[in-house]
Amino acid sequence: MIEQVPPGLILLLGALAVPALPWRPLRQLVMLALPILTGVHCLLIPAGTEIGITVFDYELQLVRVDALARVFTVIFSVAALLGVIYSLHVKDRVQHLAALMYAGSAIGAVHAGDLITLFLFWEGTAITSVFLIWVRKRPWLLGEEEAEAAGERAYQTGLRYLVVQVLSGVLLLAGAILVFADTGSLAFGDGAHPFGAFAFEHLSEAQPGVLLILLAFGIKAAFPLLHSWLPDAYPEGSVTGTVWLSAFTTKLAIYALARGFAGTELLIPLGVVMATVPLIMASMENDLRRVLAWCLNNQLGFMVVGVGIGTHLALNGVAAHAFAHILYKSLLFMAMGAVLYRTGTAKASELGGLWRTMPWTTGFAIVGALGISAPLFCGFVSKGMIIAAAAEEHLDLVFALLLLASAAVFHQSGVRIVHSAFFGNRVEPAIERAGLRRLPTNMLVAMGLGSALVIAVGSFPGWLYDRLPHDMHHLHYVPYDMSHVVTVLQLLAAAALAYLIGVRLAEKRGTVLDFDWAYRRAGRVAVLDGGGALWRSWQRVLGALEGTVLAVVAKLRWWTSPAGRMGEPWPIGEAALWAAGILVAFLLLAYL
Amino acid sequence: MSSGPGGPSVDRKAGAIFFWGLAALCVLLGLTDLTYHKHGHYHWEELPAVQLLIGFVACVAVVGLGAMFRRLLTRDEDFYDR
Repeated sequence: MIEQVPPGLILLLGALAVPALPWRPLRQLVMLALPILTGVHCLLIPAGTEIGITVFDYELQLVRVDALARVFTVIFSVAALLGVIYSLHVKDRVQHLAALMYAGSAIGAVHAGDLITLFLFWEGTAITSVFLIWVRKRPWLLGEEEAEAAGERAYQTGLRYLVVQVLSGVLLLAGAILVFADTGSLAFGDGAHPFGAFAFEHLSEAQPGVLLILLAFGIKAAFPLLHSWLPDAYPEGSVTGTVWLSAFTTKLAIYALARGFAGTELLIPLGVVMATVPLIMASMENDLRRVLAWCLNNQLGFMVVGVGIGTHLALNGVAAHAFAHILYKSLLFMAMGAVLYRTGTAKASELGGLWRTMPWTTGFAIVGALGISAPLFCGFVSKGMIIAAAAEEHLDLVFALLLLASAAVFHQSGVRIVHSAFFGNRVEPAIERAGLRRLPTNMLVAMGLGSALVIAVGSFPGWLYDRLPHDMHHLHYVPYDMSHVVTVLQLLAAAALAYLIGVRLAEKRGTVLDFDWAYRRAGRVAVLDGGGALWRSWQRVLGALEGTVLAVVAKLRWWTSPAGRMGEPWPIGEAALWAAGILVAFLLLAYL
Repeated sequence: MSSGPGGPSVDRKAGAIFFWGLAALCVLLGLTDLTYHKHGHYHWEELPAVQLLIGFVACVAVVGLGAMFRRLLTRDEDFYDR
C-alpha cells in the first residue's frame, strides 16, 4: 500500500487541503503533520520502488526510490518541518499553501525517473516559490510609504526570479525533447547507473540536448553568470519565506547535477569559481540576508566541485553536504529573519549589539555559524569529504582554493553575521525597536530544533553516513581524527581572529552591482528606449565615419595645394628617381 | 548611553576577554601541531600551524579584493529604483 503513494504527493495534496480547513489550530496541526508524514513515508518505502504511468504511449516514471533520492527527501522533509514551525504564526494562507507545495514539488522532483516528470516538478518549484517573495510587506516600523516601496521592490524581484526559474524549466524541456529525438529515451538515470546519466568528457562531445539540460540545472544551481537571481531574490523574500527558499531550489539542482552529470570535469572549475568569487561579493554587501545568499552560492560551489569529481567519496560528500548545508543555512536565515522581524532591517550598517535583547537568537545564530564547519557541528562531517576527494584525485589547486574558501566563508557568513548583528557597536535605534516586539515562540522553537539537529548530525554523523549513496565503510573516511579536527579549528580560529583585528570592510549602505546589471540596467535601457538608443548609436557611427572621411579629404587637399608637399617644386633628379621607381613597381607587378 | 552594570563598558570588557582568549586559542592550536603526528594529503599540510596562516591569508585576500572591487561596483542604495 505504502509503495503506491508517491512521496511528494502527501505534501502537494495536503497543501491544497490546508487553506480550506476551518479552524486555525487544526490547520497548524495538519501543516506540522505533512512533513513528518512525508519523512516517515520516505524512510519506510523500500529502495527500488517504482511507480510508472503511461501517457500517450510514453512511459513516465513518476517515482523511483534509491539512496540518493532518499537522503534528499529526508532533508527536504526536515527543512519543510522547520519551515512550518518557523512560520506557524503567519496568518496568510497563500504563503502556507505556496510553501508546502514548493516542498512537495522539490520532493516530487528528486523521485522523478524521467525528464518529463522532472520538468513538471521543476516548474512546480518555480511557480510556487515566487509567492514567498510576493508577500505584501507590512508597514510595521516602516511607515506606509516605505512598506509600499518595499512591496513594489519585492514584486519586481519576484518577476525577475520567476522569469529566470521558468526559463530554466523551458531549457530542461527543450533539452529533454532533443535527447528523446536523439536516443529515443526520456529516462533520467536508472537503477544500474544512478549517477552521471548525461556525463560527458569534453564539451565538444556533448549533444545539444544534454547541454541544454546542463544549462537548465546550472541556472538553478547558480553557476557563474547564471547566479544573479539568487542574491537578488532571497533577501527580498518574507521573513519566513526566505527560510523556505534557501532550502529547496538550489539543492534540488545539486541533486539533479549529481544524478545527471556526476564525473563531468567541466564542473570542477565552475565549482571553484562559485566557491571563491561570491565570497568577495559577500564582503562588500551590507544586507546580511544577501551576505548569506552569497555564501550559499559559495557552498553550492563546493557541491558542484564534488559532482564534477564524481568519485564515490565526492558524491557522498555532495549528498552529505547538501544535507548539512540545508540545516545550518536555514538556521542562519531563521536567525537573520528573527532580527528582521524585530528590528525591521537586516542591514549590517543599521544593526549591532542585539545580544542582550535577543539572547536566544544570538545563541542559535552562533550554532548556525559553527555549523558551517566547526567540529561537533554538521558542516564539519560533510565538507571535509569533498575537500578530501579533491586531494585524492590530485587536484592540487582545487584543494588549496577550497581550503581558502572554507576559512573565508566562516569569516563572512559566520563571524561577520554574528558579530555585526549581535555584538560590535551598539546601535541604539535597532536595539530600541527590537525591544518593542517579541519574537513568536514558534520561531524560537524552530531555531532551537534547527540548532539541535546541527549539533546532532555533527556529533553523531553515523546515521547520515549510513544513508549516503555509497557505502562509507569502504571509503575509509574518518571525520574525527586529530589532524582533521586541529587543522579545521586552526582555519576557523584564524578567520575569527582576522575579523576581530580588523580584516573586514566598514559596513556601508549601497547597492553592489552584480551581473544582473546587464539585464536590470543595460538591457532595460536597450528594451525601453531600444529604437531611440539604436538610432542615436547609428547617428554616432555615421558621424564618426563622416568626420574621418572629411579629415582625409582635407588632408589630401592640403597635400596637393600650392602650400602642400605636392605643390613644392621638385628637383629633376628626385622626379626622375620617383619615375624610375614607379616603372620598376609596374614591371614587377606585370611579371608577378 | 549608560555604562552601568550590563552596559557598554561590560560589553567592551567581555569583548576584550573574548579577543585575547581567541588569540591564546590560536597560539595553543599552533603549538598542538608539535605534539602529535600531523598527517595530510600534501607535505605542506603537515607543517606546524600552516592552517592558521591559510585561514588568515584567505580572509585578507577576500577582504582585500572586496575593498578593491567595492570602489568599482558600489552605487547608491536606490540605484535600481531610480
